[in-house]
Amino acid sequence: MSKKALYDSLVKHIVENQNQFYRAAFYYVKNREAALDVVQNAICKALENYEKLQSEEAMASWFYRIVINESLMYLRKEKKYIAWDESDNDLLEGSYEEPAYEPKIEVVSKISELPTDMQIVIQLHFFEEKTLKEIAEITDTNLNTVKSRLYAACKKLGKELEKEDEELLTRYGKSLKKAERESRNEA
Amino acid sequence: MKHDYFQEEKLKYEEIEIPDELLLMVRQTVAADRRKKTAAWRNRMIKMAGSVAAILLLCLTIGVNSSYAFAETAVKIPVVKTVAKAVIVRSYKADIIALDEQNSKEKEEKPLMGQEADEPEPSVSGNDTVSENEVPEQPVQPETTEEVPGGVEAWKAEMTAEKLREIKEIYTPDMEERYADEPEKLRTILLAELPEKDISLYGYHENGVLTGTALRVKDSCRYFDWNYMNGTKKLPDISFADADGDGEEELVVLLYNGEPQTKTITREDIEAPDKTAAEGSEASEDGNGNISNEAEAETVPARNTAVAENIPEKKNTETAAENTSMSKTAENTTAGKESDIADDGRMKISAQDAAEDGLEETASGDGSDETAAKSDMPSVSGNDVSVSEKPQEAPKQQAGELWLISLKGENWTASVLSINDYESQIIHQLKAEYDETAGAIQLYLMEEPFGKSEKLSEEEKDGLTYEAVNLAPEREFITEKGLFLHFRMEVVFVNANGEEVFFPLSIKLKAEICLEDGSLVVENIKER
Repeated sequence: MSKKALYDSLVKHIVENQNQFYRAAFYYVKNREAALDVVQNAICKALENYEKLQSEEAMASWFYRIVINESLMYLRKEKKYIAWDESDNDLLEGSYEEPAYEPKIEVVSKISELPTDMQIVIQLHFFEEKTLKEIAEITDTNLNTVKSRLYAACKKLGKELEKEDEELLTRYGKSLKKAERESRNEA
Repeated sequence: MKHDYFQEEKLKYEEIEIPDELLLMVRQTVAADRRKKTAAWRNRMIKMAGSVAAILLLCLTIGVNSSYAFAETAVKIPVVKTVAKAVIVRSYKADIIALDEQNSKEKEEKPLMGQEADEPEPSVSGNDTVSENEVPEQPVQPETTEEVPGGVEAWKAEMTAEKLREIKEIYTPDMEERYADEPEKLRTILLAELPEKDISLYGYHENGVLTGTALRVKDSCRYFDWNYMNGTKKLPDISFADADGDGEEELVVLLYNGEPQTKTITREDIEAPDKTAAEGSEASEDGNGNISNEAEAETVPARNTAVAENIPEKKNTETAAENTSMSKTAENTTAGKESDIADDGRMKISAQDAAEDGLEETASGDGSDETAAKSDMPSVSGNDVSVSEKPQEAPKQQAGELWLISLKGENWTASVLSINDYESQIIHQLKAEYDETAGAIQLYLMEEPFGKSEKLSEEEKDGLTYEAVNLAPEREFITEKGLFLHFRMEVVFVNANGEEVFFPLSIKLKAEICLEDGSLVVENIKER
């Protein structure tokens, strides 16, 4: 595939799926303007570096990864800004919640209270209906990590999910069982 | 349970509202990136072409100076020989020039052999145009006055405001027929006039040459090495407009030399003007406009020495002073490196040839030699005069070069806006983006959406790839209350064979042309 064709199909992919990317960005940054910024940055980065893209098949995951990375980068910057601001303005205290930095609790009531990497897995798997393999590609981790994160995320979301554990186990196979065993061992 | 929980969350996720700006933002971002890439690619190509030209010149310089055989070969190749002769510094220079002279003479003799016995002898002024031999049927020029016909230089020397004033009839192609027996009436043709201001523009028109004009304002006149027409035979326009906003109007001369003027008009062209086409193969107008004054300054003195030896004409020696009196303010910046090199070479060599070869008659045995032979013709230096061998389709009529002449005092100043100038200025400001799914084009002016998105007709867009949006050939300069360019845009697609397919856009546009610091700039693009 020529570079020109690759570039064109990347552009096509971005234009066709822009709503999906915006939703993903908004899901993380929870702010309309910021989400637009994130998507714009992601497009710029992708188009600048399209030559690094190996094949058209890898494109969807590659671009999604850029969107997610941009969102997380935005959150990190935001966190810094808030932290700095808090030092001289107490009013802002509690106005921002960064799940990744929350104290660890076993049971959380909301997805947004999960650590970021778990949120990503939940978002991609349940909302975007991506397969675990796709999630592994997007997050640039291996399949087993995705499985264990998903399992751990479900577990953290409360006891009521326990009923579903068995279902998950059968769905995602032995490695998840292994992950479960490991987490039990850890506990 | 879990599913309910996630379904609720999923619903929320799916209900995330998509802002209206998203689509626009995505398009603009993509379009901006595309433009950046196109510009980067263009720069790369220009740099590459520049370095290739520099390397070639270096090789040629080293080659001709280190090997006599190489030099001998180089001076036999048209075009290359002009450069080669300019870069030879070795002592065998005289030999090489003699060799080249010999080549030219050999070539020149060949066509003469085949011609009829009553073929008039080419005149011997050394200023003959290359078309002399292209038009064998053309009757010999009877002497208009006491002058020997001697090309545009002699014409310039000969024509005065009073003589120009005598020409009253505006040129029409049918004059070629009517005055077939009196070619002296066609030697100077009236191209345009503004009787109320007593301003007229005349063209030198002899042996099919369409280069060389005289601008008469009341009793003073100046000469320009302009190509005043192309194959469409549309005459130049003159009008007045205040382009620099100083309250005084400048003279606007519009030349319809839209296609690169690289062809002399032959008898066949005159008989069937529809089939004529100016063929662009050599330097662009940029090059022409850019160097003509310099070239003149350099070549005229040299030529005069030759003329003085051979033709006892007093007037010719005065041409230098007259011709160079015009100062040009606009410097064309788009002229490429390569053309600079070529033009340098040509300029030098034309001076050299005129001085050393003096009487050498121009060789015109074949089309390919024309461009080289023309270096012997100082009057058109920088303007390519060559012959296209096959007839082509009629050129699209375009508003060509625009000259703006400020007539203040004794020293007039002239600025030029070439086609490349205004096209690139407009393309720089007016971008477009093609939405493939909708089949629509959206224009952007300075990054802001401009006009409505225009849907292209559905017909046969299959297999076509969007290429760019360019200026359509339909364009016109308007000089009412300022100076404007009326134009339209067209979408260019490329089909599978790499051929361009055009879809005109219906939006009508206009841009203002202003004179700022001596340069003509296109600004204020609007819908009209």
